[in-house]
Amino acid sequence: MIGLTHFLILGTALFGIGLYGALTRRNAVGILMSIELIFNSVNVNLVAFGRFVAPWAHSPSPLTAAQAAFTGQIFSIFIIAIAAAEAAVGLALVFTIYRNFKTIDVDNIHLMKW
Amino acid sequence: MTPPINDIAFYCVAALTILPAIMVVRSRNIFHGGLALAATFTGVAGLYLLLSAEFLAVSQMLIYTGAISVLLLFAIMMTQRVNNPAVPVFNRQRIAAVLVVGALTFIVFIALRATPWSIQPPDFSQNPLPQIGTLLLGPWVLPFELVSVVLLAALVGAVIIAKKEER
Repeated sequence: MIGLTHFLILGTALFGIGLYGALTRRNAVGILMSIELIFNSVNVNLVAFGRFVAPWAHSPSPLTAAQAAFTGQIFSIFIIAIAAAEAAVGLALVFTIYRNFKTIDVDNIHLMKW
Repeated sequence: MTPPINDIAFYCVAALTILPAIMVVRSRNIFHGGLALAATFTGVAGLYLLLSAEFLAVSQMLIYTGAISVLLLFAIMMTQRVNNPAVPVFNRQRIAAVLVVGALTFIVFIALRATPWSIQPPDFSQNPLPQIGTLLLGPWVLPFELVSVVLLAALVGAVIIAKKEER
């Protein structure tokens, strides 16, 4: 029987994989790809909670029970939109860095180091 | 009401999500990593289908697999001069990263297994798509409008940042 913990463990594993990639990759686009993995893990977490735990079951809220069932999905929709905006701006920065430094190896871009 | 989730389906979709994710962070050729990222996004869309979030699954395929993956692949192709195997791919923090990430995920696993989640099936009797539309223009209208402003700002900002300087 697949329960909530299966999806939470899957989300945590995906988060760990994305975190490992963000810490070890040298390519800036590779780091952005790992951050997208982290975004997706958070989304899976939210939708899993929305599917298994009825929100606001014990507290008063202006939403009906049928409306509050989709709170996790609404949250995930906003996260997808913000992640898309972040990817666009991040890649614009990567292009500018490439144009100025001729490399996007983050170990070689250390102008602000002492 | 809410149907139980098939075991085989879950494990197949989980494998489709985790294995390409490992390939994203471990592949030497970053273009292969970009393609594996598209496969990971498809796996996550499958997870959304298992979790009765059909609109989110389709949105995920459209936005992540259809737009963000292609954007990342464009960026990879435009910022690589030569696919040189001598270029180092990983920095020297691999051991520390494995230890830190392993410890973090292990602690979270233990916490997840030990927490008594109060499982209550939500009320999925309504059709999701009209409900999501009503919610986005009803109780959640403020974040909805703010997200449109954020997207506009990101679009304008990305164009300005990536523009060539004019002499």
